[in-house]
Amino acid sequence: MTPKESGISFSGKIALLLAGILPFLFLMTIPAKNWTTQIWLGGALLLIALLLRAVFSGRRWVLITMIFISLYLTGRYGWWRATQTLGIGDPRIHDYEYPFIFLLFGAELFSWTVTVLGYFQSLSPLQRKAEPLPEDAGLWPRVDVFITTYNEPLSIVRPTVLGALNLDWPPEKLKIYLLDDGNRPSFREFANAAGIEYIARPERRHAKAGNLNYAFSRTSGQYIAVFDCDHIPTRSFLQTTVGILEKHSRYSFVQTPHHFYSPDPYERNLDVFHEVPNEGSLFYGIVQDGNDFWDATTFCGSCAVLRRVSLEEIGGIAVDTVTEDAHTSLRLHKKGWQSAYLNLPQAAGLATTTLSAHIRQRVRWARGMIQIFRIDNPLFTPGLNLSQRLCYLNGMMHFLFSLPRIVFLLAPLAYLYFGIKIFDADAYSIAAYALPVLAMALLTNSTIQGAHRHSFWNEVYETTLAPYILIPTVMALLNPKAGIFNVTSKEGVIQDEFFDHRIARPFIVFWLLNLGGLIAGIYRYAKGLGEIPTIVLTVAWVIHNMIVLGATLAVGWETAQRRNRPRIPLSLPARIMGPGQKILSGETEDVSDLGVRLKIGQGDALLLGERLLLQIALFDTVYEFPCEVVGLDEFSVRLNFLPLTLAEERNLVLILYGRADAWVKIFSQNRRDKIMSSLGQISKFAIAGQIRLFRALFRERQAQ
Amino acid sequence: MRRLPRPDFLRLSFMLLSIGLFLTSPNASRATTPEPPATAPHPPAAYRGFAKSFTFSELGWRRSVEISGTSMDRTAFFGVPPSQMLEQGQVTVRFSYLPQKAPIRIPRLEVDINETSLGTLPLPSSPPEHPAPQSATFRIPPYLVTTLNSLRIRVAKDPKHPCDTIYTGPFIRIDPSSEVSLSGIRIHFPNRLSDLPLPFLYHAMTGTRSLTFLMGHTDLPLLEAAGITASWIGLKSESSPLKFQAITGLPNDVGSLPTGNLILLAAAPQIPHWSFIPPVNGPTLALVDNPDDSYGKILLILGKTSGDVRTAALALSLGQFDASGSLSTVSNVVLPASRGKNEAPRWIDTRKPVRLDTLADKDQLKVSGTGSLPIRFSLPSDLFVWHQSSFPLWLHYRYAALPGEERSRLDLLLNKTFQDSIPLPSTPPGASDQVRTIPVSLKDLTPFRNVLRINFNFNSGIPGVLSCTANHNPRLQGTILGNSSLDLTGIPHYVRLPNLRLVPNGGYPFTRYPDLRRTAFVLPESPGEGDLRIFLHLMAFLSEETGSPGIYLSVTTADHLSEFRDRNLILIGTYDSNPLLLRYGKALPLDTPETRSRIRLESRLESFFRWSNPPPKAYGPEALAAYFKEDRNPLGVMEEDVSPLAPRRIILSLGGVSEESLLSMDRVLFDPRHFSDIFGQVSVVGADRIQSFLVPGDRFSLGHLPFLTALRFWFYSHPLGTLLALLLLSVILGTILSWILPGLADRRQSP
Repeated sequence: MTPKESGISFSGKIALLLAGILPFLFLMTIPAKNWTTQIWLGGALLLIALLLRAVFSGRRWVLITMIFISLYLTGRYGWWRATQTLGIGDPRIHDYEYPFIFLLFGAELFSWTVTVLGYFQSLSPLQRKAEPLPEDAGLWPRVDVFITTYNEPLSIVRPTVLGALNLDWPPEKLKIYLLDDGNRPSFREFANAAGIEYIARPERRHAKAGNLNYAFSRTSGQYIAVFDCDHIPTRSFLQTTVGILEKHSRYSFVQTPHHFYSPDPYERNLDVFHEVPNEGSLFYGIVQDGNDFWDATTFCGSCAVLRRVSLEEIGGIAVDTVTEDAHTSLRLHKKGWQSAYLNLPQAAGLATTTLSAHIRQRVRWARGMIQIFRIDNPLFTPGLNLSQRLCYLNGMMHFLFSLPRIVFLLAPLAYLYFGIKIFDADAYSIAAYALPVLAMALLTNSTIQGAHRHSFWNEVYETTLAPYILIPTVMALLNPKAGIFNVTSKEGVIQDEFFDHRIARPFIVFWLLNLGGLIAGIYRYAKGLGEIPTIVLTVAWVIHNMIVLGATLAVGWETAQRRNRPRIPLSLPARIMGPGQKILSGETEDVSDLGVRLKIGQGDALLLGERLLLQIALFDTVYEFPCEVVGLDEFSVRLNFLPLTLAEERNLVLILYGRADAWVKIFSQNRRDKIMSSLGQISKFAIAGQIRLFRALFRERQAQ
Repeated sequence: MRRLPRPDFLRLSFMLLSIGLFLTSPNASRATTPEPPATAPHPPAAYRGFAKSFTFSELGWRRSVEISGTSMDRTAFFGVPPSQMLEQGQVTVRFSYLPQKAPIRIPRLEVDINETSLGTLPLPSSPPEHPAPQSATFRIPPYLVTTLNSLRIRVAKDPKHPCDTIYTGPFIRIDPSSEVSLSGIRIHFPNRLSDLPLPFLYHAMTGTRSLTFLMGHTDLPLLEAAGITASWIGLKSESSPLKFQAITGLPNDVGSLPTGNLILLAAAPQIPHWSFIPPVNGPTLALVDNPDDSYGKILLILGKTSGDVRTAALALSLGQFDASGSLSTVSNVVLPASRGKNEAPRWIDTRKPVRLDTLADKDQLKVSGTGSLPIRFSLPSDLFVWHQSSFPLWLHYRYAALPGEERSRLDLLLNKTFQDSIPLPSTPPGASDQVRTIPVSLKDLTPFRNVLRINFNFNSGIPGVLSCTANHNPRLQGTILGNSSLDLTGIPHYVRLPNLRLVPNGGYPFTRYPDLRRTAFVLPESPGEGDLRIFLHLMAFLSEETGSPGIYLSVTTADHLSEFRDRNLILIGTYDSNPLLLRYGKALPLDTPETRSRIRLESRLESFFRWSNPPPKAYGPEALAAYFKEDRNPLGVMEEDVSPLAPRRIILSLGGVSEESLLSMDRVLFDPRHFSDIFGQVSVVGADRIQSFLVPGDRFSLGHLPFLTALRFWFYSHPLGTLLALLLLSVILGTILSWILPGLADRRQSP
């Protein structure tokens, strides 16, 4: 139903909504007679939600009803926690127990807030489509492409530049700039050879933001497409994005997803590449689309097109924080500029290779977001509307998760080790109130996030970062000005598998502490020290912690990555033409910068070391590459490219990374979430992680 | 808690007046309590006095008592009624010292009567090898004895070795056959109406007071007269346990009247020609000697008609009679303005803050040294304290503590639950006045009887090692000033009925109008002794709870019910004698399968989709059905139901299995030890216990709640309602959202 049909004005509907929310809030404050009533109520609501989800799966109103049920249960629990369980005025609570009670309550308060904000943020993902450009290419605007680099090797930057050259855009309206903060002659030579502009700064203030601003003041295109040096655009990047900016004159930028064609450390170390959605999938699959609905899309520093006028209005890219991108979009929104998110992968890059690199990158993001939180707090800064404030708030608050996460990891231990009460309630009531809340949040989030974040993975991601992110975020909260920019390392070869002790150390400590808690719980149970239900509850909590920590330990085990260029599965018709006029037809299986695997019928006709000409057909064009046979088996042949010319290399980039649909399928091929199997998977990793831990310790003992 | 014995001036004055007037009687002490034990030697018929003895076990020490150096004092109480004057008394303590593993200095045991030492038990000459029974006898000086006496056995501190390490193991065993023997003369009182309620009741009574009602016949006004008289008894009873006996029909032969003190209610036509009956010219009150027992009295409540008798009873209960002589003819009774809702004199008025000096005597608000001040108060039973946090207690107190001593505290407890502790810092010379408002948890209130305890805990400032040399420091004083107040204003009056729990706690809802304006008793056509006992006892109980006589009481029978259909009804009888019990009750009779099926059970489906909170299984209807299936033999059933005759009225049924069982029901029902077992809608009364059940059925509410509180309470009591309301709201909100969201999305995507 559109607004006109319903006959009620928009503000009337908002008033109705608020009027309905009041009794909703009122119902949250109704106390339960006892814990059985509460478990009955919570269980019934959960059951209804499950039924709705099963019968009317995929309907929007089901999702909204589930969100309301989850909000209700959370609010009810929160009200009860705040009014009944803090032990204020309870003579049985010792003074020294209050800090523990309030710490846990604060951690829970944080997670409720983030849950509620998350529901708001992803209430109605916009899922916008690309807008067509004028038929006449002569009317298309002029675009500058900025590729920023600082210390990355040329081998990483080359495909990006070649990808930019492949962009389908009138050449006279497209200018490509390689912004080299490293000021390296080899880069200048390459730029000249490739026929693009090269800009290097005399100094390096403000890192990437400064680099962009320097080039910004020396160029003049109407739009600016920004790419990190490893994000290779597809040929259709500009055609899909610029149309949106052309249609909406108040739009400042269009952001597209950051897609990674190599596994991140979780995917590689747990061997779940393309099986479990990666960490960024939630943000680019749901959150940004949700943000777009509320006009709060965040600029992510790469794979985006910006309108020059809007940037000029805010004085270029923001330089006050280490996450210049998010800060820039906040400033644009403050000035009344709008934004768009196009959920269509039109570029792809390399994921961070090691867990430590991943953590370094997230520490930078976290620090930057907290800096913005302090400098331009979205709640109070002028110029934003309420929904934008809430979306930005959630984006920043999210990075404060580390302290609550650590509290959840350690809270049950206060009771199990020292008998310190962490809430002033009996275990039955806590379970009766909290379990439906947790289950309902799990169910709702699984329904919302489905293919983009599997259940319980969030905890693994957060736990991995929690100990590292804590101090930088706290420091940034205290003093937002301090902080340095560090470039995330993207390319790496891990020669042999190893257990990253340095990174895993805090998790080993947490794990051992929780193991001690488990033992203490068993001891308490056996000796009758404390109430059995409380012991059971806290022990269950400790076991949950150990599962999450175990999975984290498994991620810390870096598996070998021998190839330094990832192979990309790709199926295209291909032909081999050898010197003996052999022509063999086949199909590519996977392609990388270095070579190809072909599915082929008569592999025995080939010889190892034979030099051939490989023809790969893409649409109506055939591209040729000189190759050498390096591997043979019954049904397939492995070819390595012989040194390629720049034109050949550009064609290879087009085939590998430049197809318009290169990433679309992969991006949306993740399996949907199944809560229980996800739990099973995490538990399996937990066991593996714990075994790996022991193996690593044992091996170390032997080495000594 | 017992009151501290105080000189009984009343008794002393009677003693002086009536010396020499005594006569002999073999059963003289029947109307007094504790009743003489069987072992006591009967005095010879010619003996003009009394002799009685109580063993310690009769005084409450059921088993032998072992005492150690650190034992608390052991105290027992015994009573001597004002009609008896003590000439000789003695305590015989039978005890044995226990063998000790290690040589110890055995402390001496002191025997006190009313805080005055009678002497100490002799110490063993040598360490005992095995328990050897011994006894020691102490004379009780008659002048120490009053109506209520405390007998205390305590460990005495050795003045020569005050700091001896106290040995904590038991060293002596006191045998419960130890006894107190008393003998003396009986006193004949003059017949004066002004002395009422003497001889029936007197200050500082011990034991159960037994009251015998003689009734000429049992027409309705006369029954009402008896009820009003019983409520007068209740008013004066000072919380003593009561026991009523009711005899209907008067013997022609004077000699067959019971002995002891009697209350006689009769209209002129039913009175035999007895010489001691004064001329009856209208409503008459008189006090005469019992012709069968010259130490007994008869209170005559007479009239020409039964209506006159009722008027006389009203005059008695309202004190509107000429008390100067032994006879008073009542000409006119002015009924006081009827009391409003919850305006019982003994209940706290919740319309304004209540000063503590209206709840306790001034003396009871003072301590010297560390001590505890209990403040008792009764609340209207219908206070709605659900989910409200606290009420303010404004405490104005004065104390003197030692200079430099900062560890003293004032602790506050409500019904034994700790509320707050206030430091009592050292004061400059002289006392310190302090004012403090303390929040007291409403959760800790009980529906009716409450005790607020204020403890002054003074730290003497004397180091522990020396504290044994000083046990009292007169400089430590604490007083709660009378203008302190507790404030229960603003708490709504609201209650869901039927709820039997409120019957023993305040007699609610019958006492909602404390003069029983809205209450009618329905008795059998010809009530038996059991019916009457329960009726009279209940009347006394209700007025004792409220402090107001039930002057507007109505008594009726099943045939005349229609007049009283808009009242709360109390049905008393057996299932044969009172047909209404079968009509309105559910639970009895128990013996036929057909009636068992009247207990409504819930189906599985019903119990899952239950509209309101379920009762605990052990007290639900299944438990009630199971109780009857087990073929137990209860005495009867008390149940409360919604009256079908008028809206918002209840029917309380007290049905006995037989007339005899009603007699026992009376004993069990009014025993305060069983009060906490009465709740829900059905209470089955057994021979020595009460089991209560919560059964589904109609409910209604009395009182008024603020709108939001009412709404909250409704949702609280109806989780299914909460669930449905929530789902409805979710659907509504979801619908509104699904109107709004696409519009917003369109707006986002249009240029």
